[in-house]
Amino acid sequence: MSGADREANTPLAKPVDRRKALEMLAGGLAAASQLASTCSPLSSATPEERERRLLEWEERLKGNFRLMTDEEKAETIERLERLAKLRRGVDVSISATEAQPGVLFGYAFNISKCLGYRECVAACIRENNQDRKSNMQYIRIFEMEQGEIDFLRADATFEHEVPADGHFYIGTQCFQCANPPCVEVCPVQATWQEPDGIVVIDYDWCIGCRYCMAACPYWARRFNWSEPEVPAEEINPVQHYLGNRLRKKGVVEKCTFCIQRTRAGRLPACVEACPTGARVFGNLLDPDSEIRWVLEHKRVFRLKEELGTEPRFWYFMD
Amino acid sequence: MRSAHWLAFLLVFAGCRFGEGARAQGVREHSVPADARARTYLEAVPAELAQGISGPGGRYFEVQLRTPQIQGFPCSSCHGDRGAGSEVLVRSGHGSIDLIHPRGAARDCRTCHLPRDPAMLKLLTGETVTLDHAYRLCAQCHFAEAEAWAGGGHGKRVATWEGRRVVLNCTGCHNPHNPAFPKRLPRPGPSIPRRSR
Amino acid sequence: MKHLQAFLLSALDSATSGGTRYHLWMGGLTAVMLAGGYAYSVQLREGLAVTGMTDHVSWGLYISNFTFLVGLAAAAMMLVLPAYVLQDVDFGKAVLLAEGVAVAALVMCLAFVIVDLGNPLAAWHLLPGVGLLNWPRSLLGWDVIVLNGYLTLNLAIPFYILYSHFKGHSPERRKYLPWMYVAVMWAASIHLVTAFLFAGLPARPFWHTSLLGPRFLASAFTAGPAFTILLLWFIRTHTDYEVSDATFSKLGMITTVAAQINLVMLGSEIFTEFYFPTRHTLSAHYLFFGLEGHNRLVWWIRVAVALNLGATTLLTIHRFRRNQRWLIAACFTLFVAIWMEKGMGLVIPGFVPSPLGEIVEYFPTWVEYLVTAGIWAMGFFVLTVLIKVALPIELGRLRTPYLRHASSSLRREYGY
Repeated sequence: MSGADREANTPLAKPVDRRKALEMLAGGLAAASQLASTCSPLSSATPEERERRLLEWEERLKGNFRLMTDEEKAETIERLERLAKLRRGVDVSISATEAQPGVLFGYAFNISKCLGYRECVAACIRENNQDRKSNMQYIRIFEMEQGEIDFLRADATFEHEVPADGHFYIGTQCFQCANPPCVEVCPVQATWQEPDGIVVIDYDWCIGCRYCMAACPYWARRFNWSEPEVPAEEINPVQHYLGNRLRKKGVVEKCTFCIQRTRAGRLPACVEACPTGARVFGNLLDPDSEIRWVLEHKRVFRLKEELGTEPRFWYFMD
Repeated sequence: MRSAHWLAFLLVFAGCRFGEGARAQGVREHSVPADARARTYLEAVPAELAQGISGPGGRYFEVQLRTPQIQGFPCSSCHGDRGAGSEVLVRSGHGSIDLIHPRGAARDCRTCHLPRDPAMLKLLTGETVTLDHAYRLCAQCHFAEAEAWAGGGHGKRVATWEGRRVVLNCTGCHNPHNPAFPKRLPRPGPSIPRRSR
Repeated sequence: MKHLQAFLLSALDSATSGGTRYHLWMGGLTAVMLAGGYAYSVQLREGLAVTGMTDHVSWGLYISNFTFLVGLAAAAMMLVLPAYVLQDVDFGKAVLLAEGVAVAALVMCLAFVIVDLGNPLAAWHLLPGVGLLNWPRSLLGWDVIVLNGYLTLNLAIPFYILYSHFKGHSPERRKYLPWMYVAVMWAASIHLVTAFLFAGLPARPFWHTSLLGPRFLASAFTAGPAFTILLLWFIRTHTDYEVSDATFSKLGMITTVAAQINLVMLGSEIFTEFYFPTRHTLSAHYLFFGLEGHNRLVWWIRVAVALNLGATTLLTIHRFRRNQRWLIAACFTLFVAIWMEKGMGLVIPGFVPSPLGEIVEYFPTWVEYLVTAGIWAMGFFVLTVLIKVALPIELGRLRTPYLRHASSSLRREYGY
């Protein structure tokens, strides 16, 4: 377990000067915003409201996750957990588990096996706290006519009984490219590739310019056009800072191979939910892993190889 | 869905078995921090529910047991000591079995089950194995699938991608009497915004 | 310091005094800006969901206008080059105005980027040093730097010249000329950088072409001088600031040549897209002919191309170009045509179909229209104020009250 994780539950350590200054600034801004929005003195707000405003401003002034010290990570996690309680009334636990050395995640999708049930989609939505209002989905299952792999003619909106005769199914999601164009274009380095290959987003650092969405050749990124809504009782409280923690409006998000699960040794929710075993996940650096078996024993292909993005997501057939 | 049920069962079982605090954690998904839960998952496949086998190339892995999944197993829980002849199988309470596999002349209970003891499976070599070794029966025809299953290209691994490799038995996903997945309505699809006006 | 104070005070005075029509104009602009501000407040509260943008078409009217206006800003330097570097006096009159246009266009550019942000409170993350600018990897990082640098240059150089005149001095060439050279380079770079912002995306074949940069330049050097002609014409007819026919003639020539080059490139692009259509040309197909019944942009681009062709033809014929009326009409038409083509006509088709083949069209909402109108109003507001301050100084009416050597330099031109 990483240092950040261990510290996540310890009380704040002695503040340093810079942080103290930031806290004071946040306090001032919180008070100012209170005054501006309600035109009433700060004292009339409930203590919870005041605490929430203070925390929100401290959150707005924090730095990029990658530049945070372990202590700062622990602090922001504590704030975020508290904010989830104050805003939504739920107890969440946010981890900052780092990548394991010697692990590089890879994914394979068996297009002979997928039958279009979309169990993966449903599991993904619940696991990753995706916005229910806009029906956000990271995974797209395309129904293709036999004889071609043509996304233009494929249909992802099928609602009839599956598998349909004469058709096959092919799923897409973020491919965690080894050479990700989305990371390249981000003007503020709010998205990057972790050592285990997962391309992550610091939701609090994202400015919402959506350049990454234009740059992704696989249409893997989603934007929170409005404040995301997840019913409190459906919130998955087991969260990761770079994964399924509650997002806010105006930022980009995407599949992270369920970083909150996979960093803890578990399989991604889509793999676990697939009733046909069409999804294979594992460590590319482990010669005994399932993903390595697939790469060595099956003929595989990737989408848009000509772009040089090197997806870590392969398709294969029986 | 079946695998989800199996997992739930597994977790309940793990909870009962290990007692010490794992019970509530394993079953109620949302009550413990990630790392604790992951440990629960890793430990959630008790040795009693899986059997170690050696696949091709000497790769060791574990297979989920079949018998704990079967309601009313062993047969004696209903049938007492009398045993049950295959002839009366369909008429006497096993009417839900819709045998469509294998196709053709071999479609007969006795193709796979020992007539006098249906809880035992009969291999082509004459060897008999328990239901927990269903994969050996299936592999007789589906050798390519079996090889992929042992390697990781077919079937499903349980819960984790690292540590002990426990995979579902063939019967963990397939109904042995009707192994094809049925047609059904999919879960809700995407809402593609106004495609035109 | 007293000069500076006097300068700012008289600038404010000049900008706030004028006839009824002037006040109506400024009042109207303010009203539109307020409406835009209201629409933006709705967008801030509800999120970008109130716009017509979607995960499929994730940039819309805002970035379209941004793209066009970068070109307008860049084109200002097209006039600076001959005026200052080649010492061509005819352009001298146009230059300060063109730089005013550049400043106004840049203010609009930055505003369009800001309103397009989903999380504008985090915009400080873009500040080098304070935030974490992804430079030199991200082309948007480049854009932040070059646009702000260009804005600084276009504020500083005219300020120096005007302020010198205000004080009754001649601006010293050695003080501003080096910066002029920098600014000229910079002008080409801002538009190229903005083109590369699109052209650097292999995910979007519609933009991923090496012709995009040159086409951006050609269209910018059409729209920029065309707008300057319109502006000069307005100033000549409404003020006593003299603009010679030669200035119009030369600007008209620049506009014409740029428009012709632009058309050649358009033709080249259309040939490549349609001679042997592939999956990569579907966006162009969507734009010009529609795709599976989705044809929202077809009339738009066809009108744009028709206007472009018509206006360029007019300008190409000497008789029409030399006639002020036709020149004005053609320049206005070109300006609109390029706004249509280099805005929505460029940005939207890049997203249709999506990289996974889904076709979703883009329909701007009232919020976007109002915010866009508000930003344009702000641009015109800024431009009007700049002109309102610059003209009296250039006409010698506005001078520091502490003037000592008035007689020697009052009537002097820029000093070349």
